[in-house]
Amino acid sequence: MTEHKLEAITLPFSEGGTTLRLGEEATTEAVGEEGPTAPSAEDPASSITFNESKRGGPFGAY
Amino acid sequence: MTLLLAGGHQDPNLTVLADAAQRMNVEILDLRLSANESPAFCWSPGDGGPRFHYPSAQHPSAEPGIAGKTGFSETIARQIRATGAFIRHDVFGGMQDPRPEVSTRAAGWYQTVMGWLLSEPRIRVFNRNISSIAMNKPASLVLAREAGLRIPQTWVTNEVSKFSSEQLEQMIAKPVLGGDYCYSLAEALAKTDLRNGLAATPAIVQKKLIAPEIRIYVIGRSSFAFEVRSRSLDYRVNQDAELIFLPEVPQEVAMLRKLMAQLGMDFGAADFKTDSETGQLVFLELNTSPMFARFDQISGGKVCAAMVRELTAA
Repeated sequence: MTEHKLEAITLPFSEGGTTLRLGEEATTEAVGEEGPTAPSAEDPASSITFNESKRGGPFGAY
Repeated sequence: MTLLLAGGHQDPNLTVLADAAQRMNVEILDLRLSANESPAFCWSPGDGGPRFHYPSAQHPSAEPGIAGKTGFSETIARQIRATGAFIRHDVFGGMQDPRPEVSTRAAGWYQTVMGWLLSEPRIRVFNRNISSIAMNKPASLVLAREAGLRIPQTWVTNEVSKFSSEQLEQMIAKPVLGGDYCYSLAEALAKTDLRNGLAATPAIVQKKLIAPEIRIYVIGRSSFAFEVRSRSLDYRVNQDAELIFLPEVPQEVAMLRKLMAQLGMDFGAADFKTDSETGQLVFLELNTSPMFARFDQISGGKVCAAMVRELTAA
């Protein structure tokens, strides 16, 4: 397990045009193809409402 | 010295930190949560440390290579003891499985373990005395300026109709709460429904800045800087960033340390971009729980080594 993950994170990131839609990100991040940060990964408190917060963009929705 | 790791087993940041600790011969107590199995946990607050174990020997943490010298199986039914700890809220499980209960479970475990860590002052953790201001982007901007950092011209507003068409191209918008990308103001408004000229929620509106974009990590007494090169306004959207480990940390780190001291922080990563008119670095935000796996790799392991050193210093 450890060796596998060590090897995985040496892959060049952003390879393969990964997307950041929820549900896809964890997989790509785990193999190191995702970029260095992701919105909810650095704002953990926002993770539960991430889908909701995206609706309407930064100004939200009524 | 025993370093406790808590969070999600799918979190690559915890993986690289565990690997760094093993390379440094630091004993690891692995409390990372797997997707399909919860450990047995019981803590009586005020009556010592919790007891914690996985009933299944199949849990990945039971592998000696992950658990370090101690081996997870040896912790079964024992009271948890550690001299240092690193904990991250597991957002990765929820990303893979978007059911609300997955995120709620992660939050419940985070609060549980963090609650115990906060009650144990002898265990070294980062940001033990962090201010609630650190979690608020607009308030942090004010303190950043008071600490001597340059901040972008900023409005926190839902009065979007007041911006001119010229400003729509010169400004960006991002949510006050975080959790979403940074958009050009024009792009943000294109997806916004207005009522009486007002958006539903105030957002952070700022002057658009340019490259270079710099991220500075402060890890206790250590600091590291990286340039993040991307053609995108927010490199997270297209994941097109190239990271460069900088030989010297920009002078802004002194003011960043002052800000972090004000916020009760000894671990974090601050993002800066450049003012096109002055060429100077401008503070954008300070992440209290930054990702670091990729940055650690680019630095040749320096980031995680500093984290382990800080958390296990006598």
